[in-house]
Amino acid sequence: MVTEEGQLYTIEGITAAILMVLTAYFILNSTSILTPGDTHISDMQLEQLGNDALKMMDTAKSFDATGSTIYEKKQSDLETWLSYDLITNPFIRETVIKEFIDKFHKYADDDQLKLFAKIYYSDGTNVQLLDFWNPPPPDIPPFTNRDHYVTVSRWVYLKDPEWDPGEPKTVLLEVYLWRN
Amino acid sequence: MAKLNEDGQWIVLMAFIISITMLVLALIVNQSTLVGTTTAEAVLEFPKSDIKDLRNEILRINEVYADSGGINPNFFNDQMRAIALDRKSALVQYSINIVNPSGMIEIHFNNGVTEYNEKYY
Repeated sequence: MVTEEGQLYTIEGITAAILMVLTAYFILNSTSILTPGDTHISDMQLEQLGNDALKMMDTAKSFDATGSTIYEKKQSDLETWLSYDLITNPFIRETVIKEFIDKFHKYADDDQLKLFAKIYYSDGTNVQLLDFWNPPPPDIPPFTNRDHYVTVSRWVYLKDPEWDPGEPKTVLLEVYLWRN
Repeated sequence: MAKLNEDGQWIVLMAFIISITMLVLALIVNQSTLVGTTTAEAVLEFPKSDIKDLRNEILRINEVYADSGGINPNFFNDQMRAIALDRKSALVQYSINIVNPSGMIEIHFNNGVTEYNEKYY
């Protein structure tokens, strides 16, 4: 005859069995969860931040009605900076770089952000590299496979760059961003 | 046979309920990392900024040409295609109507995963 004794023990037994099976399942399963998951999320945020900062730099602060053409009227900071003589004049280059980094930190609201930047342009036949900003030795990244940096880029229209006069260009500014 | 002591059953039952609740919560936390990762991966893979940036640049070129003329705006196409292929592994193509700069602009972008075509009036 079936009695009704020990029901709680039965429930306890079943629950304990379920708990043990699920615990074992979790432990075995958790090995497949990758730790880089965290970096993906912060990479995504950093990339958005970088793109937004570049977009702000490449947007004119205001409409300058004194300019002679629409290019001057709506010239952005980035278009102005990259048009300076970056190749032969180290002093201007330093000034531009300092301004660029200050603005980047300001727009991104993060002074600890590390970056370096490269400019790619076409000389008609080949794609050329202009090292815009390489950080000094303590900041040079080791760039092993484990580092997490993101690359953001911006097309910039230069109507008459001083480093290659008379040739309008679209250059690609590439910025590598990371946090320590 | 001694009778089993049935005191404290509510406490034991509550303990079961709490432990099962914790299990469910752990499951949710466990899944959230995975969900965040896949979402972030999907966002990183989609070239949203590249396309917006490309549009912006082409419209800028067109705007300058429409205002002050000068060099054929399609001249930049080769530069941009070469740079985009080299640096972004993306094929970039546009055409601006040089007779009527306020006419149609065609914009194409293809990086092998995402393809974007636009006719801008």
